[in-house]
Amino acid sequence: MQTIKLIVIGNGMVGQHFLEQLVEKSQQQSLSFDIQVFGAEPVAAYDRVHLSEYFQSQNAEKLMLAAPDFYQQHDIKLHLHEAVLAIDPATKTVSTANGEYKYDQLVLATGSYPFVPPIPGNTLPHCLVYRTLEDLDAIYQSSQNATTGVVIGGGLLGLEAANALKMLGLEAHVVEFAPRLMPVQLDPDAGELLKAKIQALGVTVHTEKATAQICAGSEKRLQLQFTDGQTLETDLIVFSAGIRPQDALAKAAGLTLGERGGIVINDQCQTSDADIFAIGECALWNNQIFGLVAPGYQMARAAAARLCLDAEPKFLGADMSTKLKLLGVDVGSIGDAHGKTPGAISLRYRNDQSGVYRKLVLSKDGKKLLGAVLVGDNSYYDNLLQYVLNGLKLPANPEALILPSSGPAPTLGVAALPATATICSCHNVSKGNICSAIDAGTQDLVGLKSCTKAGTGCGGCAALLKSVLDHELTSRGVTVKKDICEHFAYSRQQLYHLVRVGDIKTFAELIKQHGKGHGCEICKPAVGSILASCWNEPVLAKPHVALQDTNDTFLANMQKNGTYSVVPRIPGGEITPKMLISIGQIAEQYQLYTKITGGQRIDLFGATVDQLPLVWQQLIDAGFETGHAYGKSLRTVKSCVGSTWCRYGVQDSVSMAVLIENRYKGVRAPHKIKMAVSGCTRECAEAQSKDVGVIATENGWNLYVCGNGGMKPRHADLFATDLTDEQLLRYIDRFLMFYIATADRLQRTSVWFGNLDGGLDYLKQVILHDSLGIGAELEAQMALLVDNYQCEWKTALETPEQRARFKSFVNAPAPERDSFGFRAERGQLIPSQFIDAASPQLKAQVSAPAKPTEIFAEETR
Amino acid sequence: MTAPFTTHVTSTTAITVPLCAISDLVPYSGVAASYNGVSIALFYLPDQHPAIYALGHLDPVTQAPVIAHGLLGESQGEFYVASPLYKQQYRLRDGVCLQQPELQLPTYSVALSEGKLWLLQSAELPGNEKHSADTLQACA
Repeated sequence: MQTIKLIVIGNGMVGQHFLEQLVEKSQQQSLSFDIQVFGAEPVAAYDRVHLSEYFQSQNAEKLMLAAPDFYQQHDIKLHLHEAVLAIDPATKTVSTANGEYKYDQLVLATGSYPFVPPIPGNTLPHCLVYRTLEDLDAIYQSSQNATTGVVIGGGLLGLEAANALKMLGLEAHVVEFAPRLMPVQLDPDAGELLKAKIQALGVTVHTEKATAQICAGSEKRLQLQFTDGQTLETDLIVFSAGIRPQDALAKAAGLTLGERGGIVINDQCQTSDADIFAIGECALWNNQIFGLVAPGYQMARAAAARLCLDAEPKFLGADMSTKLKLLGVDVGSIGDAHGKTPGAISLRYRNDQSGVYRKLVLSKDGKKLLGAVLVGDNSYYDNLLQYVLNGLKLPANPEALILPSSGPAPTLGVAALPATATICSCHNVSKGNICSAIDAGTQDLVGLKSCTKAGTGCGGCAALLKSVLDHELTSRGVTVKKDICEHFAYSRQQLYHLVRVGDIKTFAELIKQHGKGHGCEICKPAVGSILASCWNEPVLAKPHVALQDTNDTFLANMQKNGTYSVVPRIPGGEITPKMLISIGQIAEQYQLYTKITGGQRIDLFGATVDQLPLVWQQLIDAGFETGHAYGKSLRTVKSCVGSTWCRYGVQDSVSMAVLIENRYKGVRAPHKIKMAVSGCTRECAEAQSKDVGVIATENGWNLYVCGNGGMKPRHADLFATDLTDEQLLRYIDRFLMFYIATADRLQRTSVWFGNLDGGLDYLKQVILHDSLGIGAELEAQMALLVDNYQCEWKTALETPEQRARFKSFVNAPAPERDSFGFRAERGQLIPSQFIDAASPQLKAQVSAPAKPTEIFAEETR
Repeated sequence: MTAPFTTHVTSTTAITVPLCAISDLVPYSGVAASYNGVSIALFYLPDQHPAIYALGHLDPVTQAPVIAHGLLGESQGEFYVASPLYKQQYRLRDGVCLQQPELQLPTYSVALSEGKLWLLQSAELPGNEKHSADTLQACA
């Protein structure tokens, strides 16, 4: 098989998407490519769409598009910080400062550069642009000791940049040459409304202003002098007056360019040299540059297809509709927003009181929707976009599509969408693709996202995706049965509410009132957990004891030979030498295998049921409490050493971790909960992999939620910034209780979050802005749990009835521990027998029982 | 606590052995007893008939003594215990595994009388280790 030498110049979003497409396609077709990628920037591809989040998280890794091992895994040689200096199509060579490289085929994904208007003074210090991470670093540097920032350019990117300046604490101004903001996407009414809204948010907007000159300021660093004679003093200037295709290399290589720049390409993204491709913002198709990411991705797919000898898909132009939130204001522009189509008619709704504007552009006969403009409320967007993209016939009264109604807005039934309708334009996923995935067995949003990638680009299609999923499942007769089991025709969430509202205190009461039969190993522990989450009575109290999983029954973790492991609580991972010695002495006395866990505590393995109370009596005497390693509840709050010792620490992370761990210990939840507190942004406690992560800032605490390690790692989302201690606890209280109230059984916060309608914004509304008005109630519920905390082991040892349960045999003395089978390894005792010695068939049986979700043994961190 | 008889103690050939007091049992849950080196899991469903079930305590898959620690469940009126290790369900009335019928727990006859639980031993009590080993061999 022949190996094709492929060079890709540019490792931006489109270049990266191209690599992913090519890798996938070439594997399918058994083609072999030797790929080298050159990037001028020092970092690999990152998400430019969400660039401003960099100021919040100060973490470039969060923006990375590819897994760190992507290049290595696919044998791609990535040359970062190595700009290509020249292309020689005659010898098929590219040259960099480090040498020359041969190619058979070449892909240009060089993107664009920010246009800086030729204003005298535009190269003064503190005149900056906004495109790369390096640009952001420069803006950040410049913003230190600054009070005011000006953005030149009131387009989409300019407003993004203004938002960034605002986030840096500057007084922000936007200067736009045109009479309105976002002149490309918006009409005058929409521009005017957007201006009013943005001004109300504290950004000063100057329209119809041309800058004649920039010079040194008198009070601030710089002064802008406008053509009308007015001036504006500022500390820094960000130019964001549009982009220009990065076509210099192509030009020097003699490739055909457009009149106003851009590398001319055909439908398969080939340039005037058939072995050289161009994709993304550097490419000019049909005399048009596409400055959005979705069309760039479509070009990437077309080029990858051609390189793999496929004729399809071709790039045939792209929809330039946009939906975004600028400084918190919804703005949408669809299709022919300006009504340039001959004969087009427009329908408008404007409400200055509520600050919304909506316009429809209809075809001459009024039957088709050609375009739309939205300000103030983007909930109309998905619906309207589908009308435009699929050429659907409008209803008889199209104005109903944009008029506020007393009921919910009339939405286009997703049933009306053809199978070819694009649902996710970032990853080109059609309704047909989604239906196939559902036919193949996917039944939830998280599954759909992972198998089709829909909704994983800009995320704008999430709501639509959910509607398609719901509709398709319903139409297939799949009632998405949320019934927990045959005994209760309710989901966990519903059972939780029944318990709360009905003030139900026992399983017997609940099943009598709302269930049938006698319960099972699914509903019993679930209800046991709900009762504990609501009332926090001891899990071993008489009415609850038969509901508990083995681990909860014995307040320890059953291991594979039938013995148990024990984890005392070590809040925040902080422990005195004396207590450490106690653990060692107890472990030695009972010959327990000892291991440090990932959650900064110590796990003692190999205790028999009869030994558990003896071990625990000694642990309690030494000052320990139960660590709930066995429960679906808070496990640990990991911490780094923080400002008390570390020269980088900015807050006392250990004290905070101890406070948090002691507050939430024993709180039972739908699944286990892990937390961590880091003392600075170096993040040594790995808080962003936890359900609740706290990272210290100079001004307080940043709160992250819904992260996960384990099988499906997920970075936590930044939820709130610079919180005081009190705010932090209040928000964690609310967050945890909201999760407890609404999650499914055995659903970790990361999956719960993935299925939450409205996502992060909604969660913020509920928790931070109390949009449902339940904040105080959630806090009160948590206060009850905190007040009712007791160490379950202490209670068990003090209650004869509970204590009696810890016996191997009711009628015989405790068995010799040796009867469980141990052998020595590296100086400790480990299980000797059974499953390791079992036949492969036996292992296969064990790994394939009937209910796979129930199988996995507990990890005990 | 009053509990109905599970079986009338009438058999003449049976040797009856006291296992434990009724108060040793935990309603809707299990405890383990030992007799002649054999571990027996005892499950108590006070409102059912029969109210007490005695099965092998060793998990057939791992040989670990854990069955009495499993959760009791009911499906379509049939009661079972879920092994706490890998969660296979074993029917209380005959010990058959609902997912892998080749796996089975031994069952023992028991009766309640005079506040005690009696093991009815019709012949030599089969050791459950051997029983399980046979089962495993059969399916290997």
